[in-house]
Amino acid sequence: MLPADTVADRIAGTLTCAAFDHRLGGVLLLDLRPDLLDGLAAGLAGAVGGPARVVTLGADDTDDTLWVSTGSGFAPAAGRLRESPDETLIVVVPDLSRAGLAVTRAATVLIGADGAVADRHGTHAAWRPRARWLAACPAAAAQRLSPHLLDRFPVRVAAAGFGTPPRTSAQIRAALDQDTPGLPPGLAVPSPLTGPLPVMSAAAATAVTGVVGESPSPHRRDLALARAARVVAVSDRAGTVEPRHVHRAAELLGLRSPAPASLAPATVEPASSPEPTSSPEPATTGDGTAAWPEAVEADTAVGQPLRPALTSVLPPAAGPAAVPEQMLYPEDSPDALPDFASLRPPWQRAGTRRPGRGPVIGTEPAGRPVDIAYLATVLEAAKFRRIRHGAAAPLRIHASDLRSNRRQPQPDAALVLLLDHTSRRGWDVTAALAPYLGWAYTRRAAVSLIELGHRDAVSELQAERRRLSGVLDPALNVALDRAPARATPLAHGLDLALQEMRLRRRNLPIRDGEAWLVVVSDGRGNVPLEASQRDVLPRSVSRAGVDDAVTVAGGFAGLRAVRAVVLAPPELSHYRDLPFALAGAMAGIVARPDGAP
Amino acid sequence: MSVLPYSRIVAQNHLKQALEIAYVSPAVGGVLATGRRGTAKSTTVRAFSRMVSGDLPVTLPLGATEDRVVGGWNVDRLLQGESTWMPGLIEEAGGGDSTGVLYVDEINLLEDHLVNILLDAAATGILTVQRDGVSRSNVPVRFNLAGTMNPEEGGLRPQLLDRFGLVVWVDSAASASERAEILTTVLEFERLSAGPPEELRAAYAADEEHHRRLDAARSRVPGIVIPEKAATMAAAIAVEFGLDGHRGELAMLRAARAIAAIAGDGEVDAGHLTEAAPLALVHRRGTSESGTLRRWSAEDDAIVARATSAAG
Repeated sequence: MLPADTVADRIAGTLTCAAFDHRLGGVLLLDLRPDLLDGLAAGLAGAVGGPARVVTLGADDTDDTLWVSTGSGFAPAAGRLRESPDETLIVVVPDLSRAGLAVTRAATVLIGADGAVADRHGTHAAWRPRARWLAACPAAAAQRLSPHLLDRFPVRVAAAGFGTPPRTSAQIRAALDQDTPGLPPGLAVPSPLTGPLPVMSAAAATAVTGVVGESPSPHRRDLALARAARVVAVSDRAGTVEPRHVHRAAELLGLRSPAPASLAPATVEPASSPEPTSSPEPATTGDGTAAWPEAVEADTAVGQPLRPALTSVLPPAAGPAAVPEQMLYPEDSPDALPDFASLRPPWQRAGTRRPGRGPVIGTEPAGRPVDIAYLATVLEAAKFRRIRHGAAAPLRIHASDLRSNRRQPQPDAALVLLLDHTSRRGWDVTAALAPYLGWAYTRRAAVSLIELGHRDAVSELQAERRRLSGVLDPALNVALDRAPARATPLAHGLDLALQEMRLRRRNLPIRDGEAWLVVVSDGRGNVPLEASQRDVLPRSVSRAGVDDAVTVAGGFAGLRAVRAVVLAPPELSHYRDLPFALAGAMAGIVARPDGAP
Repeated sequence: MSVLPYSRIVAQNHLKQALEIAYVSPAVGGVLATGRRGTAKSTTVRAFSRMVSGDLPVTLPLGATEDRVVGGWNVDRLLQGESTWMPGLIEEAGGGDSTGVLYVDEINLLEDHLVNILLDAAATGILTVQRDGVSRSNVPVRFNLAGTMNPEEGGLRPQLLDRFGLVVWVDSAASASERAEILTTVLEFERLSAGPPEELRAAYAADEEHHRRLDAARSRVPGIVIPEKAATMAAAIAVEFGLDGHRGELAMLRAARAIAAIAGDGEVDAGHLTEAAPLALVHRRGTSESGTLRRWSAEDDAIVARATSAAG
């Protein structure tokens, strides 16, 4: 039976399940180290037991790369997601929260679908989706994703602690010599699993619904768990899926699994040696295709012993694996704030359009040869080829054929709002913020929120940065309702704000004078910058927290055309000069409510 | 392509009924299934299409370009110097003599300009193409829109909602036993699919029988009588709900006639109308401009009962 004792076990187990059965659904690894994903994809490709093609999708993929592309002679060719029966497609999304709109929409319509069609640019293609989708995402960002998209990834693994970097000199040397991405240390190579599909027992089906429990949309998770249990049963060479397989699958998938009665010692099967994996007869995979199991390699690239997937040397489900505390299904939380309609094409918004910047949302006739959409241009020229030059003439592109990418307009104004919640005790800051929020709304500005000193913070010594979809983002209202905590990592918050402002100015066409930094604070930082960066409580603070904040704030003075304002609370009984020191360092101003002393 | 047999789909009775009504009486218009994620909306539509046509429906995918929707040049041929027109998906679904089905999965995620094209063609039954130097006027197209959507991603505009003859709310199975039955059915079918083809064919046997029954009902539809009293009841229901235009009561009457045909009855009565009303009117009574659908409630049932008894 597939082990599920560690994170590595769970990852290897889910990869084995995904390799065996394409219907399992997408696998989402939360908080996985980004450099490990390629290795996992390679492992998954090896586990499917046949030719496999790995494609990595990201923020720059568009409909024109995913569905229909250009081949030799500019002829339309299969896009990156097009599948053929003779190879398995492994789709890798390194960061689902940053994937482009075309990628997230494709995942929504392809994963778990019975059929797929592509109809673009005069071509039609249909195929049966059998791709395995492997994605990673920071857990904090997952709750902002569309629940509809997350539903396509019913298999989740909390992978934050996975893949400790090599420490011994031998391991480091081995890693240096490694040319291709290998499996992370501690992960067994999943072997291609084969065998007939066992029958689901009624007790197992009941166990599935019991483990998944109440959920707004339970069916896809029911099916994912049931299919994973079926793979566990195959690995156990069982003819029927039993509740113990369901509970082991639940541990693999990180679902909370109650200790089942059937796991009592009396029912535990003795450890048995399975049949050798090198059976001379082809067996059937979960997809109904014939495949021969491959011999298990002796060692991984870094010398870790392998755990063959077909062995059953461990007693079945000797105890539930440690249930991860992390919430694997953040979309179920009542606190989840997914971006509204994030799978829909963007609405029109004000702002400047610059060639070559912003997500591609279509094509249009080109006024000048900039940011050319090559496929659309060639197709346009092809329509007139015969009438212009005759059938035998080579394809020639005229100026009138040129098509450029139509891009979503990007904001040309930015607001970075820093909220120091410890300075807001009893002070409703909404009125003071109103002019700046109103400006950001009318200018359709890019809005970033830096928060510090509140009780919901993951670490009280650190500030948090979040990019909002605009001032109407519900997250802003949530932020304005937070309760203050005791620590004030103001220096860290300003450091984040400084980085954020630099990023905004670098990545967006921000106009001069159209970038505002609004700091809501009394300037009384009590956490030195180094303590925040290391996330360790300082032994003594003294003025270090204040001094660091002023020092960091000095960085804003060097940012051209950024306007800075400190909104200080009405009551400044102590250290009245601090907000002014902060604003002075930033070359900004202090604004206080009317009538403040 | 193996899709779960229609006869093996657990629950989803309202959606199944709507699809069968639209098949038995195509004039009723298309079907929109709206519901949360993972409620087998797409599976049910595809399984139904496989049952009645032997194949998956003509599908308009997300990311489709305009030339594939209305038609355009065959690009492969163009690059070889030949100009060959390639019919679009609308024509593929509704260009023949019979009324076809054009299926749009995640229809609320479709680009607005494509929705507008669909809307025009569905409303007028005429496709007009003026693009790329080609002029094709008054191409007759008869197709029923079948759409599925998850309202968590936003609604449909009321104009497009009104184009659907019937709208169905699809909910998750409520009980654990029903959920267990669903997953047992799905996994058993997957096991059959990986086995010998004759076992798979046997799984579809019940579909063929059901298809025959529906075809028989379809042939009976023209003979179903709509008595004066039923028409009066439909009008009274429309008045009670304050419907604009006549599309609502017409869809309701056509759906009621199809229900009577499926049930083997000779004429439409109050029971058939009561059954048809939620499907035909849920999206036509008091839907806000945002397109957010209001669910059919017990109060709506009471309105229907009041109107039918007053008119009867």
